[in-house]
Amino acid sequence: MLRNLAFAALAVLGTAGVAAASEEGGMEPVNVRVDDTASVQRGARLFFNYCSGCHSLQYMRYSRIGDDLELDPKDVTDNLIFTGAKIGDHATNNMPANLSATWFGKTPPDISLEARSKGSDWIYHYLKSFYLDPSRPAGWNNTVFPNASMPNAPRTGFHSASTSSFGSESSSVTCARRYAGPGSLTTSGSGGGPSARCGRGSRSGSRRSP
Amino acid sequence: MGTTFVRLHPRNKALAWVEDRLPWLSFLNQHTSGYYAPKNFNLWYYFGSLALVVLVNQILTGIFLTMFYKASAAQAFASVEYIMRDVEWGWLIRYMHSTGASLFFVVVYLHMFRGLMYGSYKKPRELVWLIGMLIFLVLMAEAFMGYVLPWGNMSFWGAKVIISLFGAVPYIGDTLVEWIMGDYLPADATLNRFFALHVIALPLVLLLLVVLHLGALHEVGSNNPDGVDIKEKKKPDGTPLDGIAFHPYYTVKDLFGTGFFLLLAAFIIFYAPTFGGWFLEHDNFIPANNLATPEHIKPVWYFTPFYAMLRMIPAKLPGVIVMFAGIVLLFFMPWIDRGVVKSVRYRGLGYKIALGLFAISFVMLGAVGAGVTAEKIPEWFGADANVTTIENAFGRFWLVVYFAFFAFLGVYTWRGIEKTRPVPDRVTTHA
Repeated sequence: MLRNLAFAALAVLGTAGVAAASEEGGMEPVNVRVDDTASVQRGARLFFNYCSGCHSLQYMRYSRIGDDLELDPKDVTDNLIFTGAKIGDHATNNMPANLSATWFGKTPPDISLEARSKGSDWIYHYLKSFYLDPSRPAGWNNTVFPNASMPNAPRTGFHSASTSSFGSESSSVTCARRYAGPGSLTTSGSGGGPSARCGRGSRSGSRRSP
Repeated sequence: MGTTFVRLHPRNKALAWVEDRLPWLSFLNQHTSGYYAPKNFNLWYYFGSLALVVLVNQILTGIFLTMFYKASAAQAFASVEYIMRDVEWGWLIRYMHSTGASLFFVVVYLHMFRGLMYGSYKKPRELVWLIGMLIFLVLMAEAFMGYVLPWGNMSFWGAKVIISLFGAVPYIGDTLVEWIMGDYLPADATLNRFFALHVIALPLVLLLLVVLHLGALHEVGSNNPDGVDIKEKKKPDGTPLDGIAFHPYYTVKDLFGTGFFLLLAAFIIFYAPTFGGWFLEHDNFIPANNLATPEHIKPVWYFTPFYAMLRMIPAKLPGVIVMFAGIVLLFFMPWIDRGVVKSVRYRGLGYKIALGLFAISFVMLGAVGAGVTAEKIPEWFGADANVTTIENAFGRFWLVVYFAFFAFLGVYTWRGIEKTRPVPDRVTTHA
């Protein structure tokens, strides 16, 4: 009887492990660590300075960002809010939907749930896969998302020139993107338990999702 | 009657007053302490009570979700995000509901398999089986409509595909599809009516069917892993020799089983609520967009075997018929399987192999329906492999195996071809 229970438990937990691992979508795993608060804070800074002009986070409240990132509401208001919104408001932006469709070809989508629908790996690799393409209206194309309407805002936006720090900044943003999914700090989002860290630094003993 | 009715006389005056006018305590007593079940129930006998636990969970979490959910195409998606982020513990209620939905099918499929294994559908329990099959049908409709409610992209496209299947009905098909949707495509009208059906209509039907299911069972008494009729040998007091009172023995045992099940459920709810995209699919975190088809339209995992049956047949109406036949044939199990021996333990080798292959074919068809084969074929056969041909061959093979189970049983058990072992006259236990 106990043996049967043990098998049953193993079967369920084993499948949960398989399920978590298979979610990566065939891309190299990025090892985003949502509990690295400093990294997520950097990601929030980068997001609101370089991405929020076009992309809203309409399901995310600034106050929630402050709470989860251990930031003072005043710091959030002074440094992260550019739209005049109040601390409890959702992080919407003022990009006009119909006009931006004319300008870019497609309205920049809201990305509150991007990490849930595409996965952190996809976002990380997407941000790093822009290449110059004169045939496209914005002059940029992307190997991960062919004929994306988005120009290479990360490259021209982030000030660093070297790939290593750009890589780590991408992963900070990916960190922040993964964070913006609901319940991710309590449930580590769509993966399993904690993985190895976001951001730069040594990758000793990187742990995969269970 | 499989239960003993004893008129209770509560000492408490208020309870006695009610009992005289509506003997509810006596009724409960009759169906718990007065219901004798075989003493050799094993692991497979947990799933009925677990199904009840999950049903209660779905109803309770569903009630709280309904307090915050907005059933309009414009607001549904955002209201679910509101529940996940702003409602206190909303994320937990939502995850309990979505995990519960998938676990409901895990439990129900195992519960049904028990029935196949131990011949629980045979005389005199045919009606228990039929009502159970009706519950399965209603549950599938309930789950399908529930999946549409978040109004994600897969909700929309899944609804479009499945409702359009009704278009296969000759002559009235297209009108029928429009009537169901309330529009020319799944829209606000569809969402509103699915909400009504999912929240009140089908749950009421489900509750009624569950009550009838248990009533029919208690009338004839439970089967057991040996398929032995425990009512044939009775103790001097009239209770079955191999039976034990449901209360307290099985209430306590099922409580333990429930505890273990909830532990596993808790692991999933708190650490892997999307279950790798199997319980909450990635495409459903994008709002419904009738201009952007998902890369692979596929139903949630519990529908994938039947979806595969549909896809393996190249024409629409035959595909729909085959898919429904896969479910309808199960209704007829008591009359397809004419073997007298109930439990797989004493049945012929042919039956054991057939049942095993049936279970495997269900899983393999599920893999096809879920797109697992489409993903693995390029990996195993090379990037230029013809995925469609290989997947069709694989899927059609297992489709034949699935239906061959019923054909085989019909022949195998009819002319006495099956070589069964002698069934003991007392139940067997480990001890």
